[in-house]
Amino acid sequence: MQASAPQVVVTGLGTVNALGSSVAEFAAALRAGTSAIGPVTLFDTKGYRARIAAQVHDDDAPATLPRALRRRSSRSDVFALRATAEALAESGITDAVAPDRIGVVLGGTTGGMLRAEECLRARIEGRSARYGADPIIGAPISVSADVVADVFDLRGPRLALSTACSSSGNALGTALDWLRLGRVDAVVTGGTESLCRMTFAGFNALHALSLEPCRPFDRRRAGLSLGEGAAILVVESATHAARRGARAHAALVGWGNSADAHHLTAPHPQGTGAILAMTRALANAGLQPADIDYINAHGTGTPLNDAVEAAAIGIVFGEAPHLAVSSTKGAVGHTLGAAGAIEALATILALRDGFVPPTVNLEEPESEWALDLVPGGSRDATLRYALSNSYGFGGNNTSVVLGHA
Amino acid sequence: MRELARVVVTGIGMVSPLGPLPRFWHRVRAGEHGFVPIDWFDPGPTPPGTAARVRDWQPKDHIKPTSLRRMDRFSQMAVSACRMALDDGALAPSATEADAIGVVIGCAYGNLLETETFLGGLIAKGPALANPMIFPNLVLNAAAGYVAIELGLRGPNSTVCRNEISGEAALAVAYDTIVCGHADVVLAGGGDELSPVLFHVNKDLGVLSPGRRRRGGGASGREWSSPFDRDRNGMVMGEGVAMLLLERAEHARARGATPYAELVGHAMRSVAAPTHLWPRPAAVPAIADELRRLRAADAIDVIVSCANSTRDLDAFEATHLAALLGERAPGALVTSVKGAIGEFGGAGAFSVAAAALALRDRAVPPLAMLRRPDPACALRLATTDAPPPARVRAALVSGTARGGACTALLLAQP
Repeated sequence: MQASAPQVVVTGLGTVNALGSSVAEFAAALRAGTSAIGPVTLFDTKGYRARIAAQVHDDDAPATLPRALRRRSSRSDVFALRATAEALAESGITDAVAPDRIGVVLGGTTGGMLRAEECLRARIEGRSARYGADPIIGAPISVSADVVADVFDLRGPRLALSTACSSSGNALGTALDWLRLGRVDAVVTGGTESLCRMTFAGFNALHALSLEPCRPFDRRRAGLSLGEGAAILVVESATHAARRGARAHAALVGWGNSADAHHLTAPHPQGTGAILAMTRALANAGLQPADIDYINAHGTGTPLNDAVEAAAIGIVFGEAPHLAVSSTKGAVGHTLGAAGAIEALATILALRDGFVPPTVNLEEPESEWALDLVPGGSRDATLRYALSNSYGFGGNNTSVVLGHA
Repeated sequence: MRELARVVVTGIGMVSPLGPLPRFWHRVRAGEHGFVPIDWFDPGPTPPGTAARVRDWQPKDHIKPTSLRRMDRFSQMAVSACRMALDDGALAPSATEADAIGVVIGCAYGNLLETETFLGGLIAKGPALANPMIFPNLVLNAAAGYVAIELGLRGPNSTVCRNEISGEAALAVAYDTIVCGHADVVLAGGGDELSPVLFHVNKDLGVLSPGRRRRGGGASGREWSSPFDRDRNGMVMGEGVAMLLLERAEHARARGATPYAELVGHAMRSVAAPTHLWPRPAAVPAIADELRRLRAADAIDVIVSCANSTRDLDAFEATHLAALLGERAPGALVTSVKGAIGEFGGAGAFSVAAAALALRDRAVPPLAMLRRPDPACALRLATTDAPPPARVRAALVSGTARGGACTALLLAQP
């Protein structure tokens, strides 16, 4: 990016996921190496091969939410609202900036699908004749951004990005572009996703779900474990944050995206797209591979992804002894459209608090490159810069670079 | 602020209810529309029962058979439109060049037909029989993924969801992608496909036109879309995909391409509105300050509005545009393509295409069905008998979505 572009920092953090209902709970669980993957109770899993996921059990809507909105809001909307409330309260941005100068850009893939399934079932079974206003095949993914903007009165640019499992990585990157271009003073960005039958059935049918909690980068890995939740970041320019005396947790220093142009679900066998995304992100951040101390990998636990991603990391970074690579999906599951944001949050906490989150459930690391895949628990480490990878269906690859504020 | 790279439109491709680009432009200028009675699914016993369906399109003309078999219909539209945009822009990238070309597609729903099939099967037959072949096609970015695969494009690839203004928003994101230095060339635009469930959802919401009112009451039963008409009573649904080839101006110049127009910049803001309704006319998005900073903001001769023949949106647009441009461009001629192709997720990409074509040909497509302009609308409307504009220096594309997000894109003579 141009030398004149402002530095962008993160001044508010919020999350709801299976590991915790706040950033503090999430940070503690990451450090402790807890896994939140367990039986799914959200819907009947009879007939599915896999019956586990990282489900959020503390899933109440905020008590302050007006009743009409509470009735209309989907599970994804509720996660986004709660994470945004936490991030905004901490950042104090809404007291400092006019509503027109705060943008919203969120990632997600299924939005209100869980309820759409119920509405469609009622119609198919003849229990309901009307589609009505709620039934949400009629509600696009942008609705979560609308609900967040409505509740917190944010009137800047408002978008949703949906690039499957890299959605919220792209949302963070778009927020960074907006701030570098001076389009707004602050952006509420991140992602939200709820479990639903459609994705559960789809991955189940593709034989992509692991019957046991997923084991990223392990020799015995046999698929992914789905998850759900939201993570929201408040980002603004460093000078803006300093002027108003806001605490900055980390800096958002660059991002890169690429398409594999190979296959809708299988990664490019040579990792072409993953390599392009990482090198573009480093160039965008003005950094060299040797500057990166930690990579929060996409690391889903599927045989193909982990092999290709580890090789791509090896090609870009070599076998740097200072580099730690871990996947937090064994802990918090694969949250699809929210994964980029939840994992960027994990990466920010690692930088801020000085630790490397472990690859939970990894016992027998398998990689043709000698990478430190962080089995067996977290460890303290002072990290200079870190990178978070998110790869999605459609062959979409995003890498986000984070550093100290 | 520092000088940004300039971005030009060098190619347009589309699959539309009025056919591919040359026919679309000819027909929309002639005041034709693409509305037909729905006979490919059951629209229900009472009106509305009309929509604008894509025509004059053979996917196999653009996509090889092995790929075609896997691809959903929406992705087929997107890949076809992208191929046509590259051809139109005379850009045949080498493999190395293709590695850097980006794709940004805007859609509200994407592949709805297969989503309905998949969910219907899941509900009726249970998860064990869920179809693994179509599941990957259900992600909103399947179309952008297929475009990358079919055309070998490895640049930044994104899919933007912003309800009815997904097309405008995708072009705004693509503009930022170029000026931020992520890519020199981006295929950008959007669209959506019409599906039975989406039709019925909108029908139940009461936003579709039941037909032109007859003298003495009752409706004709033949829906009509007449933006800014005093008697307008709802939108007609449409479908299609339009893609524009955006390039950094120097890149276009270096390869000798002739641009349709320059995409000067954009402004995005939003106002409060319920998630499934358009904002009230009293709400004003803070777009003016952003717009004023753009070159050619004082030379707007044409406005392509998102007005879609609903009471709410057209009233909002009339107020918002009058406030935005009342003093700056009182003589600007205002039109909308929704009277010809209907309303859908990425319809705004067609508005942007129409603006680029208007700049090239110094011509404005009319509001063909407009009989009695809404007296509450102070804009200069492009009725069929309105004199053509003396000049078209710059064109504004205005978009407002259900939920309250607004965009303004400014195009000008290159």
